[in-house]
Amino acid sequence: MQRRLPQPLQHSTSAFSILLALMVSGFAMVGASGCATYTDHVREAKQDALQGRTQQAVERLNKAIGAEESHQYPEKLTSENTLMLLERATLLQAIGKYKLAARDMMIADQQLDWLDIGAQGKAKIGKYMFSGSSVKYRAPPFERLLLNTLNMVNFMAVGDYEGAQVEARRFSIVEYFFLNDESKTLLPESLALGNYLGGVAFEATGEYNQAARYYADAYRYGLRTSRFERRLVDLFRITGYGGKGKGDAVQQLVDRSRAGSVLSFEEYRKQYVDGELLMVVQSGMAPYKEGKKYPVGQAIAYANAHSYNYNYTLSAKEKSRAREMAVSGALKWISFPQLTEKGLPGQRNVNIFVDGREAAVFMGSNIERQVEHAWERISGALMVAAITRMITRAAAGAGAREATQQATGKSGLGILAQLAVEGSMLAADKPDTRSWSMLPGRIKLARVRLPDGSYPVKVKVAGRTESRNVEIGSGVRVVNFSRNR
Amino acid sequence: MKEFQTFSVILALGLMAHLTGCAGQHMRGSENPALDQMTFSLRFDRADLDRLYKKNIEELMDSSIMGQWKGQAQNGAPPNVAVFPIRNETSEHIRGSLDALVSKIETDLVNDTPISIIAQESQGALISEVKRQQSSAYDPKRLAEYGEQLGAQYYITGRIYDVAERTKDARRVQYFLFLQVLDVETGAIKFQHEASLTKALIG
Repeated sequence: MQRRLPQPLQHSTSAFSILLALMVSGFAMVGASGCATYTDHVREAKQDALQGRTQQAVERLNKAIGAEESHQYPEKLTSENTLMLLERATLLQAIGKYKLAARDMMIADQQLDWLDIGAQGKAKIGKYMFSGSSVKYRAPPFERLLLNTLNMVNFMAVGDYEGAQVEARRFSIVEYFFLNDESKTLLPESLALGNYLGGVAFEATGEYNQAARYYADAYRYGLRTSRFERRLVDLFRITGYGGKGKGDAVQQLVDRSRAGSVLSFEEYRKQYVDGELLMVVQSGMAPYKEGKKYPVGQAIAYANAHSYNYNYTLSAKEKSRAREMAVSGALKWISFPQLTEKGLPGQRNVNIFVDGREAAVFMGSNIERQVEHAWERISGALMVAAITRMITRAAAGAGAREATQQATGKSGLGILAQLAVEGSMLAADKPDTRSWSMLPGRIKLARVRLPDGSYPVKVKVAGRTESRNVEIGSGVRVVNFSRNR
Repeated sequence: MKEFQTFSVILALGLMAHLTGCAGQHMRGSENPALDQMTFSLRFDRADLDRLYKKNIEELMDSSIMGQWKGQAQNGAPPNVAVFPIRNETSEHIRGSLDALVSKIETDLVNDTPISIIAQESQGALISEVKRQQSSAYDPKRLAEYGEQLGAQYYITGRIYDVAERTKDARRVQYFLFLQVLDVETGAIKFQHEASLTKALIG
């Protein structure tokens, strides 16, 4: 006679399997995600870059993305290694490997389009169940704009103005999109430098109508020097650029251009294009994100104080639930990224000497301010997501406890199941510290006109000097200095 | 024991899922012809090049200027024709594809028509200058000067431009390839045609 297993034991085995599955999946998540955040993964490379050990920093990033050399790139692009490609591109640009830097930026640009447009719905579910870092990376507008801006520098540094023009057009598409969609996270200066460099790219090849359009936008967004104004007046004179009418910031320059004498394309070229040397100096480093544990009350206050997006606010019920959980001890804190400048050098003095004479330096872009502004505008909504996640987690844990208790009739196993679910979700709840963290803090520019010849250019950033000889002839030369941060 | 077995099965399944998730497969276009037809990005690829090229070259082959050239060749005086670089006015880095397009035009004209083509290779520094100068070199007068220096009676040139748009959940690029034949001596346009195609990334 076949012996049947007693019913309770069958239940118990099945419940044990559920519990084991939960615990194994919990451990698997811990194994897969670990506790390290994106900032942890790039920390050492960043330190090397700040200390001037740029090549070493590149090698660290190569290792992180599984490449032996800088000409290799990851076969499978994830959100994290796409960002690391951008970090590497910034460093390759600093050591003069412009073609490799441009390639990395082009790959990242295309990949960010995919990440932006593809599978956002699926990602949102992950964001609410697990962690901000499980969602595909969606670069903030200023990062997307800086990608094309800095890639213009790569192309122009090797004299490829056609490539720079392609980047300028890409910049314009993104600019138009963001101005219509997310203009509140953008500062005017996020747009000024890209438009200015776009103007340079088109002006260099004699496409003056396009140059006038880009330069005019750069001026509108706040890039203004007296020499630039003179250039604009003459450029408007040869192109007939008419501005956007009353109230347009360039209108007075348009009026001046109409009052002046006739200027030929050839005269403009001789006066403003041939012998031009544009120096781009990137210094400091932009603020980055690191994980912080906020007590629940503080987290709710933070979400309230940074509530710019009314689609992402906590309901009264959610707030009360979170507070109840805090009081009961079920929810102690919220893991959330904070913006920090810890370990960064802060504002750097920049001096540029061309042939021994100091050149006038002007601000191209204050990226520190752009990062802070964008974070200020979006962090409230992200905090709401983090709090909602914690509530969801607690509900999932309670559900697991109830289901296990019902299946086994044992409260002890129910508690274990709850702990397993909460533990696995806690492990997966890494604060999302992803950002293009090796962006410079500031980009400064200097522009001079020189007779044909070879000139020594020295750039001092906080006492450290980078020198280069630059050949000047017909056309425009663009040189980048970003090794010393 | 049973519990250990359950645990082992779960662990094994987890590992399998992890390992198969990383697996990939490499293949050639000859093994899977559909590869050449698939769209991997919004960039201008070989399939796009073929499509736009086909439309333009068919029009050129049927054009009156081609008839005129064939007539000249029958009279023992085939015209010398230079093919200049195609200008990239798009928001995509497609210079390599455009250079390939010029080679394709040259190849088809050499193989299928009686005209004399001045090969790009022999144009050397001049073509570099055309590329470097970009817009000013694309000034028809300037190009005519280059054509004259090369001993060409006609030159073929063109430009590709795009209309690119982006929304929250889609990105679309429409490419337009514009091909022209110009008379070096008079600057008259002897042929022109535009072909277009659209690519999109939709979320």
